[in-house]
Formats: sequence, C-alpha cells, structure tokens
Amino acid sequence: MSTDVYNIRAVEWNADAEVLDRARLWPGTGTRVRRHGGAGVTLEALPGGVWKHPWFTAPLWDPAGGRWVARVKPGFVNGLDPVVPGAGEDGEDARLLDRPDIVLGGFRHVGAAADDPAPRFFHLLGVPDARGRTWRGLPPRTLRASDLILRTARAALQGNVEVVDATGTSGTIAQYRVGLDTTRVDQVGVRARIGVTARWVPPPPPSVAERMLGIFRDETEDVTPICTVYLLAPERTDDAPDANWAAFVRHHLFWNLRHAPRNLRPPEPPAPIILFTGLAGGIGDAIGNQILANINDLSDRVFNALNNTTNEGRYWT
Amino acid sequence: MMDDLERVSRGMTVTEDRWESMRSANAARRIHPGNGVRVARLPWGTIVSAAPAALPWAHSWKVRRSGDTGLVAPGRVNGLPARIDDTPLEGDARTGEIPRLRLRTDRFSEAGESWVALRLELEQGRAALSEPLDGDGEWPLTIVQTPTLSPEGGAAEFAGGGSPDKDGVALYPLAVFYRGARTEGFGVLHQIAHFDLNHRFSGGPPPRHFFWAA
Repeated sequence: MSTDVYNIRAVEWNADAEVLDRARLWPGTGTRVRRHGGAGVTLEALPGGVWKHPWFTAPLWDPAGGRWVARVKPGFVNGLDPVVPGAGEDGEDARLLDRPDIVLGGFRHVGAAADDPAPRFFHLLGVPDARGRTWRGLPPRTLRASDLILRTARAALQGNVEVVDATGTSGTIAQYRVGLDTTRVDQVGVRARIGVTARWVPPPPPSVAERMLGIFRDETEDVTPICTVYLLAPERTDDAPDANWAAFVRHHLFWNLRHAPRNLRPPEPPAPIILFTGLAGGIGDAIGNQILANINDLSDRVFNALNNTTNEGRYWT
Repeated sequence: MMDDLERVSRGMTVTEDRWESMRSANAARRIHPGNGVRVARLPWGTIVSAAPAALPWAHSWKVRRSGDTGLVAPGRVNGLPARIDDTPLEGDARTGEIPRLRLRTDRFSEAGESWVALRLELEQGRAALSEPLDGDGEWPLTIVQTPTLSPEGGAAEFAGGGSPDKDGVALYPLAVFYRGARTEGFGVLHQIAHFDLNHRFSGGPPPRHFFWAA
C-alpha cells in the first residue's frame, strides 16, 4: 500500500466541499426530508389533504432494508380492509389500515415473454421493443415488474365419486356427488388479502368438455389485480432492482369492492333413482341399480355442468 | 453545522480521516425516492420528480369530522335521500339547516373501528326500499355511527357479499374511523362509499341486502 501523500490543491478540495454542501437536501414547500445518517436522505412529497383513490400505491426504496416496498392507500372489500400476510411485527399478518410496508419481490423481466411486452411509455425511455431496438437509438435499459393482487378465499365446488353398497349384495354402486371444498376458507377466512406475485395471469375459463366430463378443478380463491409496479434501471443489467432504479405504477383497481361467491351452500343435486325389483332373489336389484347408477352419474354431471360447475365469485363496486 | 465538511488550507495533509469524511459526506447526501417522489438516476444526471397534487372531489356520502361532529354529503339509494335525525342530508326544507351527526368515542369496536354507516330499514312485509306508506312513518334511510356492521351486533358476516339482515334492517358502511390499539380519540377517517347506490333485498337463505354503485 502506498504511503505517499496526495498533493491536492486546497482550492480544489474546498471547491469540491462547496459543491457537496450545496448538494445537501433541505425540505421546501410540500416536501419533507428524512436523514439516515451515512445511508443517504429520503425526500418525500407531503400529502396535500386532497383525494387519492382507494388502493393508490406508492413504491418506496427502503434504505435500511435494502429493498423496494409499496404503501397502499386503504381500500375495502365488503366494508373491511384487507390483511397483508406477514407484513406485521414478527411476521404476523397486518391490516391495511395500519399502513404496512408491502415488500416487493419476484420481479419479472418485462419483454422477456412474447405476451408481456413493455408498454410503449417505457419504449420511449429506452426499453427495447420486441425486436431489441430502442427508440431513437437510446442506450437500452432493463425493465422489471411485479403485480399486487387482491385475493379472497371461497369454497370450491368439488365432484366426488361415492361408492355405495345399496343392495346388501356383493355388488357396488358408484355415485357422482357435488360438494363444497372449504379447505382454503378454513385456513385463511373470507377476509380479503393482498399478495405480491411476479406476474398474475387470470386462469383460463374451463372448456365445455371439461365442464361436461366433470374434470374441471374449481379455484379456491377469487383474485383481482390491484396494480403493476414497474422498475426501470438506468441501464441494461441483470442485477436485482436497487435504489438507482426508477419506479412507476399502473393501477388496475380504483374503487372499493363487494365480493360474493356464487353459492353460500352446496347446491342440491337430484336424489338418485333406486330401483327395487325383487327379481331373481335380489340379483335383479343389483343389476338394475347398477344401470341406474350410470344414469344417476350422467344426471349429476349434467346438473353440475349446467348449473354449478364452479363457485366462482364476483367483485363489484 | 454538524456535518459541515472541513475546509483545508495550503500545506495540510490529505489524511485518511479527511478523505473518508469527504466520502462519507458524499454518501450521506445521496437522495432516495420517498412517497410521491421519483428519482431517476441516469448516466448523464439525476432527475427528481414529485407527484402532482390530486384534485379534490366532492362525491356522494363524503364524511367529514370537526371535533365530535360529523357531516355527510348527500347521497341516494334507489333514488331516495338519506337523513340524520329526520333531517335530509341536503338540508332542512324550511330552514336550510344541514344536519350533523353527533360522534362518540365510545362507539368503537375492540379492533379500534367505528363506522359511519347507512342504516336501511325495509317497511314490514315489503322487500323493496320505498318511502313510508304512512306519511308519518320512520324514514327508511338514516346515518348512524356504529361499532359493528351487523344489525344484530357482534361481527358481521359478509360471506355472501351482501349486508346481513335483521328484521329488514341492514347497515352499509360509508366511512370508518380507525384508531388501532388506542382507546381515545377518533383516529384516522377513511372514506368507503363514493357513489349513489342501488339496493336489492334477497331472502336467501340467509337474507341479505345487496348494494351496488348507481
């Protein structure tokens, strides 16, 4: 290690010190400054006591935690604010009314998938298009995104095959029954929750064949998107987003909501048809009932397909 | 000032301490984006932008508090106006006086919530909202402060998306005061309803009142 003394002219040193002193940040009208010792300064715009819509999301860089977080203005579902799993003290759930910091993560690379192109707004800022070209030859910049979603658990319709020995013989009858699976509701309750995911894509609707054959698997939650948080890098990079990136929000939800599943109770399927003939010492019953079991199966499937394939819920304002 | 940089004079030595203080001062002046501010660091400079102030919006059912008095902007359900203590929210027809809701700090739930809610009561035997058949009857839409959204008291069950029913009575939240674990004061006011409403009663089971924006 060199022990030579740097010969820096005092006038140059003092000039640099003047520049740094002028760069010190002070709060002006409508702003607030929070100093973090040697880790920098946070500049905030003060709220003006004016109206912002429910679910308004503001991304922030958390210098202490070294991560991006989001603060969401409280919105309500069925009159109640959602919970944010793990955002409270000691990893407990936090209420949105308590204004928790929602940690953003799992950022996807926007533009990497053909069905997820970068919005034109970012193309004008230097994000390459699908062909890798930038607008007017700007230096390319990386764009990542994360989706905030609103989730409400509900009962899911479930088809069950029930094996019944209805005749007391060695024969068996299989019946197709429709019931409600409340596992997810029992786990998390019916109160809405906020989640973060790299990319939310609505599940595709079931095909007619899936409905008729009863092989469609009903969802256990109803999900609606709140917003997409975009993070724009100063240049092309494979690194994770840090304080040097710029945040933008595209809102998808602006109003408070009501939510309801399609059914509160299991739908009543038709009673199965059972034939008692007494023929051939009871063997005829077994044969007849096995034939009817097939008919009852088909009846249940048609009933399910036509009326209650899913317990899909709806959000409305 | 506390973190003013040392000024040097000719001949002073650039020591490790002085150099590190210069580097520390540089790091301490780094700007991070906070609420409402965007910081874009580019190779050729740093752009700091602040979010523009949103416009105020005088919408239906807007709740405001002054001390222990609440004001609620007019709103309608199925075209019918609401009242506070039998005075329309638009103001008394004769005197023009705007009704006020007396707010109380002892009407909070254990979780620290207190709703300003629309209390709807269907006329007995009727399934649709209407003016009292008897001209002197009770007005079906009133504004109340309540610690629960269940007309029976206790926790409200919203699994059906509709407001729970008790003998034709339902509560619809317009705004909520939230004070968390504190036991005094009103806390922060959050608006919930912004639009006039439509209403329909469903006999269920269970019986529910459905509301949606008009």
